[in-house]
Amino acid sequence: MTPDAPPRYALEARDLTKSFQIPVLDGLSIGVRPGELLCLLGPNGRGKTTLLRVLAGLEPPDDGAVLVDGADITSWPKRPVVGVVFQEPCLLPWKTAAQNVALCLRPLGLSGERAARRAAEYLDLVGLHGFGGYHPTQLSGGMQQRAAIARALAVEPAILLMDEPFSVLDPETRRDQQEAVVRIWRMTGKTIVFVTHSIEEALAIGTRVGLLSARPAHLLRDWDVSMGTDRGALADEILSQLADQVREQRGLYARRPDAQTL
Amino acid sequence: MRGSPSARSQIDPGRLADVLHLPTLLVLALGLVVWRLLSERFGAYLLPPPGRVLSGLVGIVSSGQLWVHVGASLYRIGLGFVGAVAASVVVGFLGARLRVARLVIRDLTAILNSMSVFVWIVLALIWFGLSNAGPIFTTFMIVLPVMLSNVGEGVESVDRKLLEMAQAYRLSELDRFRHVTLPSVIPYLVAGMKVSFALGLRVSVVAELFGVSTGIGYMMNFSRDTLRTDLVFAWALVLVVVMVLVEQLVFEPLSRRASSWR
Repeated sequence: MTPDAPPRYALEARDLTKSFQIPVLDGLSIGVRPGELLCLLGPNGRGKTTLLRVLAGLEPPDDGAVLVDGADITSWPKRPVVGVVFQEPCLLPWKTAAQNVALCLRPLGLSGERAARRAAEYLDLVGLHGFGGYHPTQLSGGMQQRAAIARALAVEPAILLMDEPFSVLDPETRRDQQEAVVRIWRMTGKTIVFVTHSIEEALAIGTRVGLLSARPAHLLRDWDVSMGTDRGALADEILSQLADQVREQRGLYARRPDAQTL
Repeated sequence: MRGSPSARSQIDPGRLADVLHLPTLLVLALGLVVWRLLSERFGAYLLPPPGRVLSGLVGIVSSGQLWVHVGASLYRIGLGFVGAVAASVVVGFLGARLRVARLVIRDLTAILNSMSVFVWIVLALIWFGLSNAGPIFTTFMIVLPVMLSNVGEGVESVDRKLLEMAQAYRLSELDRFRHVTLPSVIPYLVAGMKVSFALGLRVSVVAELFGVSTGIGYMMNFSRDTLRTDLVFAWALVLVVVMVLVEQLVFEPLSRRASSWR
């Protein structure tokens, strides 16, 4: 869909196929350019999360390949090459924010003083300066999720994957977090893949928005979003296409897209 | 598991009566009066008066018998208890690795749980004769299933999402065990220890009726043989005090430490 794609992708998925009894991914291909913030939108269902798990190397695809900077990562590398931010913060409650970040640096061979320093550095980056010594239960939901982002960034991965990281937060906090992601993205220049089911969220933060089809998922279309883009018109266009996919996934009975599904 | 509000110890005159257990003390005082009256009615052999029991207790303490027999009992229950805890940890974590082992452990635990204490006492007499090993073995066999089911429950309760996070960040197997599985299980371990120690103490005292010539259980039976019902009561009191002290001095601090991060 993207004309004149640059020769090299930071992250490339080639013909990914994955089934759990029913086919979930069907020949899905995506190329993510370096420094891009790609938001993947899709109807609710297993497609998005499965895709993210395959991209993160947590789930092997039945067929196809995931390439990071041209190297295949589906063969389970020893070091994390992608940083993952899950739907929930997934912080160890018995460790402080800083310890949580530092723990995940161990596979990189960093420990002790050096790990602590890097953890502090990335906690500062996500705006948690001074909160390193707090346990997750002492932090708000938004702060916990930012600590999780710090953890993902601290391993200095080629790609940052985020799986609906703010879906459980209230709207106010959610907006703050979205701004934080954009700020972090600008500061670090990371390539980010951000999965969401909210068109509004995708348009608020993404430089590109990709729409996944109904199950079995493949990339249906993608749109570049820039300063000059008419977000309202684009949102309407995406909404109508997303609605088609929701209808398709539900079968012929559902006439209109359910607002909740969006 | 979460959200148990820690009882704050603050000096609140309104609650002082509760803290000192005044209502309980009142009931106990009433009980003493009734006890006194009943002992008048039935005689000192069936029900020695409180004063006699108290002087018997003083005798036990001043003659040094207290330390000998409490020491002997604690030594036996300690060995059986520590052995069972260690075994349950080893077996429990084997279950964490192997699904088949988990099923076998669960079934065996159910069988062990339905065994009467008396089975172990009699078998210990046959196998170990008149020795310390009887009460130790009995304690071990009674504590083991309680610990096994607690460790098993703890292993089951480990948050899959946290394990997945650890996998995404490529933590080594050892790190996953040390930093994710073990800390999740520790509260279950401590809770199991609390319950099973109390159980072990009660059971090993029964086992001391047979085959040994020291220990609280032995002394109670010996006192009965020598028609010293007052000393039976005195040793029973000793048993209660030992239980309360171990609970307050060992397990309370331990469980506070285990959940300090909450």
